[in-house]
Amino acid sequence: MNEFIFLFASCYNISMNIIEVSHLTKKFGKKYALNDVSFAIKSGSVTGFLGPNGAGKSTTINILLGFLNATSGAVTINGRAVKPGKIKTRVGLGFLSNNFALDKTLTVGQELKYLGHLNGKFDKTYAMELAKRLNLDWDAKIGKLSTGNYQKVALVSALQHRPAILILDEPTNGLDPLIQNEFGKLIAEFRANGATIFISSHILSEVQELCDEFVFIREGKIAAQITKFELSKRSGEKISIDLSQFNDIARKNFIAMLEKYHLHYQISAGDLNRAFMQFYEGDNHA
Amino acid sequence: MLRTTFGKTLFEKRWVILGWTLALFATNLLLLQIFPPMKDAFSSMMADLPDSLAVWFGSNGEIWSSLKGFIGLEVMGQMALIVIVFAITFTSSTFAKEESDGRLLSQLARPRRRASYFIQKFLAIIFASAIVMAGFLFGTFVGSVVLGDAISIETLFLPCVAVWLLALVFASLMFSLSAMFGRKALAGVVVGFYALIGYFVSSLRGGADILETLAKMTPFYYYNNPSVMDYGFQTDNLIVIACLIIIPLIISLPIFCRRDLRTR
Repeated sequence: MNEFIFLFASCYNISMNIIEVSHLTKKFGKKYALNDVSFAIKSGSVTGFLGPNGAGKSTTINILLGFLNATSGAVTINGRAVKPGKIKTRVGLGFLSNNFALDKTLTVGQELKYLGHLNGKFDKTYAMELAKRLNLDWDAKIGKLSTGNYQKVALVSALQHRPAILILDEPTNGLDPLIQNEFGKLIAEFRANGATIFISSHILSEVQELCDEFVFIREGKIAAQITKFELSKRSGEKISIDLSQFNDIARKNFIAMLEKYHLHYQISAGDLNRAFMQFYEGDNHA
Repeated sequence: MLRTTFGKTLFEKRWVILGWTLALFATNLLLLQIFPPMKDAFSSMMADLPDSLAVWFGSNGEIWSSLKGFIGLEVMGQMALIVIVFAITFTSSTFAKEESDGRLLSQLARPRRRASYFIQKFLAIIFASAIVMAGFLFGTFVGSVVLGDAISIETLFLPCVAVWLLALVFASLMFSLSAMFGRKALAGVVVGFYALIGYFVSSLRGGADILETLAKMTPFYYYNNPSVMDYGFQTDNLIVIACLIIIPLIISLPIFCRRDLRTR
């Protein structure tokens, strides 16, 4: 059984789309990198953007961030159209890529200070707290860091301004397993605080536990957009959910959503603080 | 200093700027020390040279008879090429390289306008090259004092400004090509080729009419012609140099703000 922690405190706020991609097409020369791609990301959700290498994940993210122009179609973040010259869509947004590049002549603290100021303000206390959690030396020269530590600086720079939207392009590449675990915890914390998180990966198992929705892309086209529940139903997998973080309202809304999607579940309450839920392909047990 | 792109660029490059400043200070100081022993040798050599070869060194033999003339020709002429090398390489490493290695994306993923980045980067290049030129100026001044033939800072200031503006022409071209195409190598090859060819065409322009015509297409023709040390700035030359700096920036800014960035 694949058990996972699933914080669902914002399930009652699920109807609002934070990111909308509509009929997005991007051509490089005559080649289509994206062909009529459409999907939406709900507020407070953690969405996995999955596909093989070269499927169009990074191209989509680069358009979301205004690095690339769309050939046709539209992208909005918080209802605002994304365009290279406009900066409002990048306010309150954190971005991390495995290709992230930093100034090697600066120290960790200097780089984070600079990038923090580019975000509007630099919260040194919080940045240092994140660095400490990731076991990152504040005064180390970036040029002398290992690949894993370099990636940690990039991670802190993406999180240090407490973004409401996180866009992570293959974020766990280069991270050692211990830091991947800490990364997962940080993502869960941001999600619990209401952040919307969009993670691209070419490995489903890498992001499966973090995400509650999945967008699959292949050869520049969207293959599917499904919830975690639908994914588990399709795979016939039984999953359990930790409801200990839920208050009564969140729990009611969560149950209502399960009903809405006709999902089969069972709640077992051995421990009052931990209620487990299981999904079955057969009868519905409450 | 780390609050803005301008400040961060200067902070990040502080050792490069300091190194070039000290190097130009020392080079100019030392270069001037070869003047006394070379003076007589040059004068006699120039007298024996045919006119077609004399243009390589400057056809006016009197230039070599005074320190002021030597500075006007050798220091402000030959050393200008070194300052241009600084301007091109500094622009390449502070602007063009940031896009090719991905650092541009990590900055523009934040709420920062491309135009602001563009302007602050070029201001940093202007400022850094001005600091380096201060080393150039004071090296020349101290060199003349050491020779016991002090030439005032005021006299040296304008020709140094002329060299600085010439370097900014190539910095602007390098910067603009990088901004438009995001290709560091392409920009480097084009600007390097233009600088080298322009320098030789301008140096040899007295030898043939075609070279005289071609020389007018290079900034070398305008920055110190006639000698700024002797005649001050010529307004029309100054306008040409200013246009060569500003026009590429005006053309490239809107393109940089709209084009696809290199995302590797």
